Amino acid sequence: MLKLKHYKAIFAITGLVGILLFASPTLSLVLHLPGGEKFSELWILGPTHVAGDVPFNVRANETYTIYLGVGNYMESSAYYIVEVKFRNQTDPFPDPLSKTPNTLNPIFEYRVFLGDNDVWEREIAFSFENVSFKNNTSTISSIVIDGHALHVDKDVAWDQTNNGFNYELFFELWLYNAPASSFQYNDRVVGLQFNMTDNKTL
Amino acid sequence: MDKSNDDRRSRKVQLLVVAFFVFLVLLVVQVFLSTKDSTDSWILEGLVPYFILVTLTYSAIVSYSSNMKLIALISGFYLVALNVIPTLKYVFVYGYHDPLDHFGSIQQTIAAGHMSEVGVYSEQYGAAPGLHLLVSELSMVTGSNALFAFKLFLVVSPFILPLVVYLVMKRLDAPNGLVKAALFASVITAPVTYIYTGTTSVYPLYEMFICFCLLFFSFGPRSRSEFVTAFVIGVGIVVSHDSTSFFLLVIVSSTMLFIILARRIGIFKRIPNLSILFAMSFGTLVLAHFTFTSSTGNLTRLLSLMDQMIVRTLFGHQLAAVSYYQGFFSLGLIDRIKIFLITYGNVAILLLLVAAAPFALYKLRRANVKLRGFYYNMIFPALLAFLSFALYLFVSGAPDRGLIYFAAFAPFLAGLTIYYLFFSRRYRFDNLVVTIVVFSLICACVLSTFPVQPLMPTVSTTQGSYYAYDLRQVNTVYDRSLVLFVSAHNSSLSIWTDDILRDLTLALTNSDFQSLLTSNPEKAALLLLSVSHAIPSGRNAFSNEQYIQNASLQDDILYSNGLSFAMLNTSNTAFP
Repeated sequence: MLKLKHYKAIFAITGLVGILLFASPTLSLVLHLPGGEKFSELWILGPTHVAGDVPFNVRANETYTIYLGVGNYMESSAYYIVEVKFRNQTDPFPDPLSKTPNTLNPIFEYRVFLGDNDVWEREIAFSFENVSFKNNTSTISSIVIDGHALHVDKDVAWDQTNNGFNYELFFELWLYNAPASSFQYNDRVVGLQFNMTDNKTL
Repeated sequence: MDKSNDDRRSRKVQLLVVAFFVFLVLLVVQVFLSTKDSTDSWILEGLVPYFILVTLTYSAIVSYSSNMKLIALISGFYLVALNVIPTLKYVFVYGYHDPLDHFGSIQQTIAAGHMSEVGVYSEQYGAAPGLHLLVSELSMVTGSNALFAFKLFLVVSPFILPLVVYLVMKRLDAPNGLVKAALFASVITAPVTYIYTGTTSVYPLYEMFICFCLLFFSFGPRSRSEFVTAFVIGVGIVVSHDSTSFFLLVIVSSTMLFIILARRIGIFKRIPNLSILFAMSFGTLVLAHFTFTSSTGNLTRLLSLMDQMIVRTLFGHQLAAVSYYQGFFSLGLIDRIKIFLITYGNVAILLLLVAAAPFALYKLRRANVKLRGFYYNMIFPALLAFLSFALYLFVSGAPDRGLIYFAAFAPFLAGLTIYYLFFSRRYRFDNLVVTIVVFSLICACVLSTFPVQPLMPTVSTTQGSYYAYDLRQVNTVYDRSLVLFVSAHNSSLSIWTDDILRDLTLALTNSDFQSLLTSNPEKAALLLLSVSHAIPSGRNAFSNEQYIQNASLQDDILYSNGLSFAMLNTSNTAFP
């Protein structure tokens, strides 16, 4: 025969757990988990704001657009610089796992000040000017980014493996470190590979 | 004189109980303050002093108290504390693969308002959605999000385990020492339940059902309500986990047959008719349910495992477990011991304690008839469960499921050994000595319950040092941000991810996005890779880093948060 008094403790515990369960939405209003991890994001998207439609085969004097974005999850406001760098096949490549920045000098930069949980994103227009092709070598003299003509003077030889004249435009994220009063590389790099095509061949 | 001794002892226990709860609250607060959303050195990082205080007071209560109900309750709270630590410490679901797939299925169930018909578990759990529905209901009824309900279930469900053991022991009129030992054993032999898998989530129900079966086979149901309660628990298992249902079907039917046959040669007592009715009802329920729902996929898998084992053993093929641990055998002896202890220390303790149980059982021959009958009836199903553990260990190399099935018997068997060694009248130990033994045993088990990663040997590679075997399973914010970013900005490109990101994708995204996943990295347009999660071995970690570096030479890096990356596979011919 089931006697309620034998199960007093179980009923009491079940009741207690039940109360806690039904009070859980209220508890979640009172108890806030510490944030966890502080980090930043850096990204590029194609002209239609999706991954994948970024330009690859490019031509001289034609304007291309991409979106560049930075996300701040540092639990405080943060001051960023996005450095724009341009490389050919022989320049050091941007290592996404490296804690040190690429040694190339930036050709352009964006300064961004963001509140916590804020995102900065802007459309960037760029084109290649003074491009020449000679003896299986392509040379780009300048890049125009958001209307600023920037001298780069990079040449590459024809890449037999990838069948193209390959360049890379990449972006590094730097974060202002208040105690050190300087910007420090934030270990984030994103980039686009290009195949410069001769206008005549297209 | 005796009365004043009892009073002093009772005051001491009261103080210990108060201290236990104070330390428990301190531990929870400290866990709360140590919240992490990235991989840290190990689960108890920053929590060791608080954990030791809680464990010490728990050990002292077990040793000094003679109130079994109190020990059962405190043991329940201690198990809850063990489960609270990783559940509260890590922001998202803890554990790779299965927990993520289950979480994804629960999320989709909540979103759909009924059991999800899409996603990775729609087929496997289509006929057994019980616990997915329970967690979904918990979320909907309490108005909390799916993650909160998921974590709440993980924390609360193990509370029941020591209570079940207590009620069984009470029914058997077991001596207090044995009850105490079994309760303590229920804590050290409880499988890892803070990682949600199908088998661990159903484990409390499974343990209850096994206990009811053992009681029924020994004495029969005490009342109709007991019969109905046991059957309802059986229904709960059948609608929640197919493998466990099939396993129970085998255990229940074969144990019943064994006892009936053994009865014929005069070894066992007759099984009560109601118990036979119970076993047959459960068997019919399992067969009917899975026949009508046509869900026998896991039964087929289980049979194929057995088939593989027989073929491999008979025809001299290497067992899966051996090939799985080849890297292990190339390490030095000390490193091998370290890996073994951190990975399987708690299993080794469980097996040692259980292995000594037959000896202790022999010593019990003069114990009460009820107790003896219960233990004798347990021998056959426990052996079957042990065989399933061995089967999983040697064939699949991953013994977890078999271990969980075996663990339900462990509190009684390991408890018997502990009782014989420390709590029986034969050897009288000082309570302080018992406290130290209990504390040491818990700590030894905890070394692998919460694997102490910093003690693992490391291997040096050109990419840096890595653990030879990494047991951490934190799903980091870096990985989640990557998956959420890509799901928000891609609706058409095929995607390849590493193993862990794949399951995270199944947990966080909808079925349309999941349909873009491919298993071929060369054909995929987008590659999602990460170094933020732990990678099982040094060899894998090295190849993962090398892959990311090589890919970054050729491919566009579209997204980076420092540890997780989305790359556009520009060598893919689909690109302009």
